[in-house]
Amino acid sequence: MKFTRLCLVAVVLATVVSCGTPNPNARPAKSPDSVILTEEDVTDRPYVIIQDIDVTVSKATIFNADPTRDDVARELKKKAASMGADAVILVRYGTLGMGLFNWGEMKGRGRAVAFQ
Amino acid sequence: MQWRFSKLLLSCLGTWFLVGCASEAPPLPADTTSVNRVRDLTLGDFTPEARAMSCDDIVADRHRIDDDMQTLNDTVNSNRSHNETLVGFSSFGGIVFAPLLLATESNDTEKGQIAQLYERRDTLIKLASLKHCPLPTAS
Repeated sequence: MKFTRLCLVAVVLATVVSCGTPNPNARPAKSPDSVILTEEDVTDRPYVIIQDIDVTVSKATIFNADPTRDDVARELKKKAASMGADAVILVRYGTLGMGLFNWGEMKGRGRAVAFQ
Repeated sequence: MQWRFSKLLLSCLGTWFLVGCASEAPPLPADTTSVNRVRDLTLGDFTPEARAMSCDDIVADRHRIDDDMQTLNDTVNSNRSHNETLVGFSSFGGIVFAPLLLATESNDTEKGQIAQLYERRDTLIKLASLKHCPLPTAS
């Protein structure tokens, strides 16, 4: 019984400590407007990859407008900006269609990068 | 009779999950250009036909791919409103209109072709970078 309690306390403490420790590799968030979006690769500037990112834009009811590539691009920029990325490269889009729990969705993917 | 009805219901439900579903964005190519890349790209990574392409050939092929993608996306989008109407009727009409789902278009062929075109485009982007071709202008 005492051992179980001790384990529980240890797990809780470990969680609290890990939550409070900042990630040394984390970059400060940027404004989405400053993020460059391109379907090409960038070859004229050295960059490091932060992460490959995916987004999905959906419409809740049949009466809403269908999501567009612009909507997906906006979400990609937002997500990349929150990671501190300078650009999203090799952007690509899925086709518009119905989702499992919505009336329409479009997916997008890209590689969030930071220039050096 | 009951078995037939169940089969019909099952096929309708099955179709519901397949009709006009949004496709995933195609996978990203392996990284060969970033600072922290695992390996460098060489001409040996390409087929002999690709290696023989000039920068002009690459640009021309890129334009063809863009045009083909546009056509395929237009086809998918034009079937989209058709599908939405049918699924809408089926949803609001319940089982009465459920067989309408069988008349929807899944566009699997087009979606597969779009994925292949993205793959081809990724190859051309890498080839162009290896051959130091100028960056393409918007078509």
